[in-house]
Amino acid sequence: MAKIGVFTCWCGENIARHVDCDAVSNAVAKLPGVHCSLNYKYMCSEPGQNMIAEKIKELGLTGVVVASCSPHMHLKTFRKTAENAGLNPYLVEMANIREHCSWVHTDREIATAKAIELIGMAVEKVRRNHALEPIKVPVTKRALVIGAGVAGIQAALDVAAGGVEVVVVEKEPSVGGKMAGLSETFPTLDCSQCILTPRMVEVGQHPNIKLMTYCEVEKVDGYVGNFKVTIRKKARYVDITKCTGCGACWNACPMKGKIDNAFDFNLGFGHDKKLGKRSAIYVPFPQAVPARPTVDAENCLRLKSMKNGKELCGICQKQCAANAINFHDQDELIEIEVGAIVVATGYQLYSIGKEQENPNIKGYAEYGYGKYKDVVDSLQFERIISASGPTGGEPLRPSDGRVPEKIVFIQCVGSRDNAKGITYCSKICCMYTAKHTMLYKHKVHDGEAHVFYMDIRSGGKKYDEFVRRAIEQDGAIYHRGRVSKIEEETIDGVKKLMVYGADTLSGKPVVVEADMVVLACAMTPTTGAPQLAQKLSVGYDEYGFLSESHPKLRPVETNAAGVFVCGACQGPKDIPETVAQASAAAGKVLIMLSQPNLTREPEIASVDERLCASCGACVKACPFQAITKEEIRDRNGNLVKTTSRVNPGLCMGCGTCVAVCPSKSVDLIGFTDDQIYAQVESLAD
Amino acid sequence: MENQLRNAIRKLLEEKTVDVAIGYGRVGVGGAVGAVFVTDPNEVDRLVWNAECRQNLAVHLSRPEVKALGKPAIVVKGCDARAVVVLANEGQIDRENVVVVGVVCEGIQGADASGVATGTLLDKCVACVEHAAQNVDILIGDAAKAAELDAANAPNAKTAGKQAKLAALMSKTPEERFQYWRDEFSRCVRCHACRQSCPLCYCNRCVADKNRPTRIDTSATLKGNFAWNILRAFHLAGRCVGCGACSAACPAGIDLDLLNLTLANAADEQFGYVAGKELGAAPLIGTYAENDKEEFIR
Amino acid sequence: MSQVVTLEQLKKLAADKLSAGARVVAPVVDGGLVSFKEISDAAQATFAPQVRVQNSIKEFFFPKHEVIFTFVRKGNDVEIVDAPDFEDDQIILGVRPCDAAALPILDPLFGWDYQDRFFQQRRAKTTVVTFACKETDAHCFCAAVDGGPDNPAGSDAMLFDLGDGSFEVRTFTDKGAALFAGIATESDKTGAACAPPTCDFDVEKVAVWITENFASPEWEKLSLRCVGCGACAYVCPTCHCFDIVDEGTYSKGQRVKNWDACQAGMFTLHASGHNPRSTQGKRQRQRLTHKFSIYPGKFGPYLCTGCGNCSRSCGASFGVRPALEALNADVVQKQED
Repeated sequence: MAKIGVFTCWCGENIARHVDCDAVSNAVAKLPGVHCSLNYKYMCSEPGQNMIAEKIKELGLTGVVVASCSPHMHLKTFRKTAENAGLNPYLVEMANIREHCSWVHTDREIATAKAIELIGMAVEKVRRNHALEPIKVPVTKRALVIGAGVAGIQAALDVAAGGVEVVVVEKEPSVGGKMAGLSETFPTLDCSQCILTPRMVEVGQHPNIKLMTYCEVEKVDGYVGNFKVTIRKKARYVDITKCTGCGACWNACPMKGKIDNAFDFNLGFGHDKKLGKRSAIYVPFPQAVPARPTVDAENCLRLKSMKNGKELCGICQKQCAANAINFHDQDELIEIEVGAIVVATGYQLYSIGKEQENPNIKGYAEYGYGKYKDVVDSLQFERIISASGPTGGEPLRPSDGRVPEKIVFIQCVGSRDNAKGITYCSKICCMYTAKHTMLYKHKVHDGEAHVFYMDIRSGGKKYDEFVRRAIEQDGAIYHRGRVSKIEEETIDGVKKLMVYGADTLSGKPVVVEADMVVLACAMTPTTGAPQLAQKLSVGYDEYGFLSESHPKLRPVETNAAGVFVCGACQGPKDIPETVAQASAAAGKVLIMLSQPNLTREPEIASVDERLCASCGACVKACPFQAITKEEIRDRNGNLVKTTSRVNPGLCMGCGTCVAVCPSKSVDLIGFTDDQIYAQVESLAD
Repeated sequence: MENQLRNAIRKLLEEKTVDVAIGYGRVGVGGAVGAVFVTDPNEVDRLVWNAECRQNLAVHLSRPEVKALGKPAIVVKGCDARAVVVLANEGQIDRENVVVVGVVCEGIQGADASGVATGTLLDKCVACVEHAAQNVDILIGDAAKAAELDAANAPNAKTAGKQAKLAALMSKTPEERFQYWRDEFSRCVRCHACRQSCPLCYCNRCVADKNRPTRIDTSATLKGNFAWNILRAFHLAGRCVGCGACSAACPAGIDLDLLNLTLANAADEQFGYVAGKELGAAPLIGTYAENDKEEFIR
Repeated sequence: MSQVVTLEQLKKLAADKLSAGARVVAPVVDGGLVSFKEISDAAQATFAPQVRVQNSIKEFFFPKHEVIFTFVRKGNDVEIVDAPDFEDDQIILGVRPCDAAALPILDPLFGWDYQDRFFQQRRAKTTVVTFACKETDAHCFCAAVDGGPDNPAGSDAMLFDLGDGSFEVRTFTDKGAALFAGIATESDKTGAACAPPTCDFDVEKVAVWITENFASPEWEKLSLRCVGCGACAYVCPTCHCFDIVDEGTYSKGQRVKNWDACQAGMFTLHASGHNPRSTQGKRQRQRLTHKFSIYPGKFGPYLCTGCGNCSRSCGASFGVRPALEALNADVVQKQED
């Protein structure tokens, strides 16, 4: 016999403003099975919760309906109340008479009538609820961090400090990401490498961290708490356990000074062809961790010749005193088991060119990037003015190595531009452009730094002051307007870039005869981010940024249980935010792995194995690959039948399987067909 | 061809490649053709092949009474053979454990109410372009002749026979069509002969037999009959092979395969998908390909 | 001396009865089929003997769907309203004798442990006019089960087609006489039915085998091709199983009685999940045993009139006649040899 208690909340006057709560209470008291119907100003408050608890004990209620706000707000609250009063928490339902009623209707009569109907539906549902126990899933106490830029490094260090093993997988030969290549960082002008390298070293040495560089995630199987990840360890051709990092090999390499260095974003200099170039066996930058070289198979003479059955060069191997070079190295697939995964794959800059990977995005021809050597993007400029860059920090322009007397910085290249298909703001460009002007002016005192901007976005702590400093103290010249085009002209034998822009504040066109142009290109996710997301069942938007569970309240979780995100792979952000998010993700990982078992909500799908015809439709349709085909055998090992079976550790309770099952042999516990039909039918009365 | 068929089956039974051969025989009133289950190689003369071999024998592959007889060989026409492929793709049979004996079929004839063959081809056979069964282990009959017949029908495959009947129906107004189906479904008695004859209706407990909640009224009212027949067509979207067993079995003479054909045409037009053409193909409903039309699906 | 009516008189009779507010059921040619339907206009009907009719007239005594009562929840109580009585006159014209013969076979069942007013009221209010058969087909075997092309059982009146647009009328009951009173004229023409259909098995002998061989493996072998639909049961004049179901919502609806078929897999599924008739062989055994052993044991006649509807409508080319023939050939004859 159902003994249901209905508790209607006024929510102050959020609900009571449009819903007559007394009338509602009186009406629903008459519903079959309702043994008590009360209302109160704030059900979620202590006296409100006590009211519910007392009635549960006094009347021996078998179900509770709280008519108030959205379950997103307080379902957990009221379930806890019930549990503490001795009633199974899954025998509590909520009727949302706030977001679904009083907040969207102003006619009191209509809103009151609707509230009564909503409660009627909830009563029909709770009448058919079953007591449920949370599902316990055992957990592997190890985390995987994908990406070792500042986000991945911070997350790994925090998880390791929390006493949990971490495997860090980085696709480049060294950790550090984009931050390792920056010059100085805003708003403090800290040297980027100086603040990052200690952490890079720690990640390489921490006893709880296993660092796997020059590796990529190949495949992810399993589910939250029990992931099986296959990692591809790419062939380095150098045994880093033997190598001492002495440098004999890369100095002897005949390709030294000939190959574009991706770490320097393929900068090339006209006055010295070797600047910004590396050898075929190389360390990407001197502070690399691990400080061991890698052989670039596409450019190594020996490896290329081996494809044709020959053995050319091999000088590095002859030079190596540690006998660490092995030209027969192969990729290796390594399987690890982890309980949680943190994705920190970072960003790259929008490539500007006509050919774009993402079919929704268009390129720019207007600014001559790729055509004029002295039009560079912001990351290339970082390498030019970085003390550890190819020019040792001297601002030299790529075409002829001259010191530029006028540099134009253009903000919002790609960002906020509907015509190119990128509608978002890349957040950091206003700040780093101001920084670029300051660093340039500090080195070229009488140089001119021009900035073309649409707005200045400097919302962080001490950020606006930083931009004012660039303008007021360091004399950066800011023009509010966009640049329509850049054309190269030779003036007095020197190549100049004519920048045609506008100043909307004065209403006049502006033409700058620049020596160099720096484009603040949009931040986009790294290549391959969507493919990795698909391996992890994580959602992503049309740009490839990974999707968080909730933009305000759950910024580091994803809808794939056990997979977290942090850093620029989730959206454009600066270093302070990245570090904060990374620590947040680490916190989530530590929470998840703090118990030997994971507790999951039991409102998941369940297959009636007697009825299932094993057609496999649900197996294919499940977005979380939570359903598998299983055999049922008798005691003698004979096959009785096959059936679909839901993995309670993975099912997210979305109900797609229920929709697709032709025989309706699968149902959602807590949201059964019977319950939903009963709710709908209650409206027909 | 009958002799070829009998010899092939005899060999399979003698060599114990299979335990039972499911084929056609003259078993009904007046020698009407129906399914036979031959386990003894000396009884293969019970097998026949002619233009009255109407049923889709693939329906027997899912039945426990037939599974109990052991590893089967099954005689299939072109349309029936695609049902075998769909059953394999949906995990209902292990394709390695069935010997599929395809025949070259030149078309099946209709029958009058006493079951006597009329001499004219069934609508669905008029536009057939699979006279030789595909995806089979053994083919009985002249494959070259089959190819000729296919080629002759190919220009009109999408417009003749059953498609013509559907087109005629679709040329009516929605009100007229609704009235047509009201008239048809008023005769439906919910015997479920359509479901029981269909090889692809193999659910252990059909959704029409489910209660708590009852999704489809079991009553033979217009409400129940519309719900049942339309739902069955939906559940066959991308799976129906157009064998016509449902229409043939309906004791009330309702042209059910017009419903199924509508959705089969949609599957072909929207997704280029024809049921049972490819062993190992993913199902149409519940899966997606990256080049599917709706942009919101990724 | 005989009584004769013309075709025109028959049509007028139908029209008059319609005008008087009676329900008139007759064979209607619809597309490729002939079915018994309730007509609204005499012109819809075919007045000629039909062998191959798609349905049985049993649905006009025992409908395929019938409301027993309606219910409405009122607070914590339920208000129940019974279905109204059947009060209309009903005339069914052009019935086959094998179809009409089912009615007296079913009478004892619907008046046995429960007086089924749904059936009995319709019986009381209905006048059945049969046509003596002018032809049979290979499916007919009425003669083997005590029937025949001019069997009067269940008929109130029978018409014999004289071939010239007129029919000899023979009335067997008061209702039949009353229907044709003042319409039929005297004549010296008499009609005759065609020869009865033949079959080469003795139903009695097969019935004995059925009664005595419950455990025989023959049942599974016999039923292999049956796919377990309900076509045979629903077109059969004597099959009468039904399912009682509640339809509607939890607070208002109706309890209904729908046809059910013993060949369906879940027909005997118990609430425990056990199914005593889990194979088609067991289900066919039940059908044939019911018709040829249990029912006659209880009420007297076979529960079969040899009409052939089942085998005509069976998609698998099965049916009672093929079953009896197979049993006769495979086991009954062998017993005798």
